[in-house]
Amino acid sequence: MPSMGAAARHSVADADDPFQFCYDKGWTDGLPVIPPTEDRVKAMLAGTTLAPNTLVAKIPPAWGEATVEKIAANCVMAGCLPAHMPVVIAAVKAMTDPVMNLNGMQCSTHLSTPLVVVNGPARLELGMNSGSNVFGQGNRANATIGRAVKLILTNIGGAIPGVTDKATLGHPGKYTYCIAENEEQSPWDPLHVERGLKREQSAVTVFGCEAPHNVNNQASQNAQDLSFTIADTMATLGKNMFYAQGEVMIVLCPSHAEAIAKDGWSKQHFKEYLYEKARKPVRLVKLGGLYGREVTRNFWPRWVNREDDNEMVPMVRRASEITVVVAGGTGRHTAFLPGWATPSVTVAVE
Amino acid sequence: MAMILVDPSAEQASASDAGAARLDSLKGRKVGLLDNIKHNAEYLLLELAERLKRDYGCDVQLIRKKTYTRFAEPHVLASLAGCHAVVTAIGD
Repeated sequence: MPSMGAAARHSVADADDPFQFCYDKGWTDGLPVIPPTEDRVKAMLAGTTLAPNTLVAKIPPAWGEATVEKIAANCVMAGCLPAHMPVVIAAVKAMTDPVMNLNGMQCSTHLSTPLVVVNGPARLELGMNSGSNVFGQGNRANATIGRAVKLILTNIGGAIPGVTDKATLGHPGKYTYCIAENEEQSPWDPLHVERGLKREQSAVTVFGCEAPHNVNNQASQNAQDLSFTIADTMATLGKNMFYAQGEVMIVLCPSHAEAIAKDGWSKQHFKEYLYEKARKPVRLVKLGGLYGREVTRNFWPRWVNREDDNEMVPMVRRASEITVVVAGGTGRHTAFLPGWATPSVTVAVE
Repeated sequence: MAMILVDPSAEQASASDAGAARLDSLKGRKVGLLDNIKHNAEYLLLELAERLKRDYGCDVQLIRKKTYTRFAEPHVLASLAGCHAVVTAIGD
C-alpha cells in the first residue's frame, strides 16, 4: 500500500469547546465526539502494525485518502479502542471494493448505508454483541466500530448530508451499523467460512442495505412455515430488488435457525426456498412497482417473460445472492435487510 | 495550552474537481447528451436536443448509460470525448 503525507493539525484555543470546534468543522455525526488529539490518535495507532501514512483506500465521492492516521483519528472520535482498528481498516477495504459501488450508494436518494458484519475470533476478543439486541445499543465495540465507519464515510469520503449524500430519508444505521454473527448458536457454517475463509480467521463483511425489517413468527416450529413467513416479508414492491435485483440479507435469529435446521435444511436449502418463494407476479410489479409499466427497463433475468402477467419475478438473480447470517438472542424474530443493489464484500481482518 | 487535533477529513480537493472552461457560444458546436436512464431523463434530453439543433445548429449526440448509479462505461466516455460540451440528466 502506498504512503501519503501526514494529516493536518488544528489548534483549539483553551477558551474554545473542542466538541463545538469539531462540530463546526463538520467532522461529527451531530453527537459529541472525543476530540482527536495527537496523543489519542497515537494511542489508537498502537492497534495496528500499519504505518500511519499507509493509504488504505480512496473513498468516494470526494475520493479522500483514507490513511491509517486519518482512520485512527475517526476511530478516536467514534470512541473506539485501539484493538478495534484492524476491524475498521478491514471494513474500509471491503466497502471500497469497486463491486459495492460506494460512490453511488453514498450519493443516492435511497436510504441504504453499509452494514458491518464481524465474524471469527475478533468478535470474542473485542467483546462484541452477537446476541440479544444485536442491532441495538449497549455494546462499545459494535457501537464504536460502526460509528467509526460512518464518520470515515462522511469525513474522508465526503458524503455530506443534503449536499453530496442526497438520501431522501436516510436511516438510523447512518450513525452506526455493526453486528457480529452468533456463530456459537448457528446450526450452519458462519458467513466467512461460507465465503472460503477459515473459522479461526476474523473477517468483516460489508453490505449496503436498508434498516432491518422485522419478521415475527413465534408460533411455527417447522422450516416451511418459518421460511414462508420470511419470504412473504421479503417480497414487497418498494424494494430496489424488483427493479435492480442485487443482494439481500437475512439475519436469522438462533431459534428460527435451529427450527429450520432441525427439519434437515441446510443454509443452501433455506436460500433456495427464499429464492423460489420471495417473488411477485409481473402484473403486480406493473401496477405499483418501482418502475411500473416500464418493465423492459429493469435488470431481471432473461428467463423472466415480461409479456406474461402471471410470471413470478425473483428478488435476486440467484439463490447465492441471498446472504444468511445468524444473530440475535432468545425470542423468535428474524430480520430482512433489503440491499441497495450491489453485492456484499468479505475481507479478512489482519 | 492549546489542544492540537489531527484532521480526520479529506483535506485535499482533487485536481479533477475543477470545472471545464465554459463555451463562449453553442453555435455549431458538438454537444453530448448523456442519459443516465432516470425517469424522464430521455424526454428532457430529446427536447433539449431539438432546441440545440434548431436554435444553435448544434451537432447533438445522445448516449445512454447502462445504470444511473454507476460510472459511465468506457465506450460511453470515449464517445463523448470529442464533444465541446456535455449535458447529463436527470437527478430526480
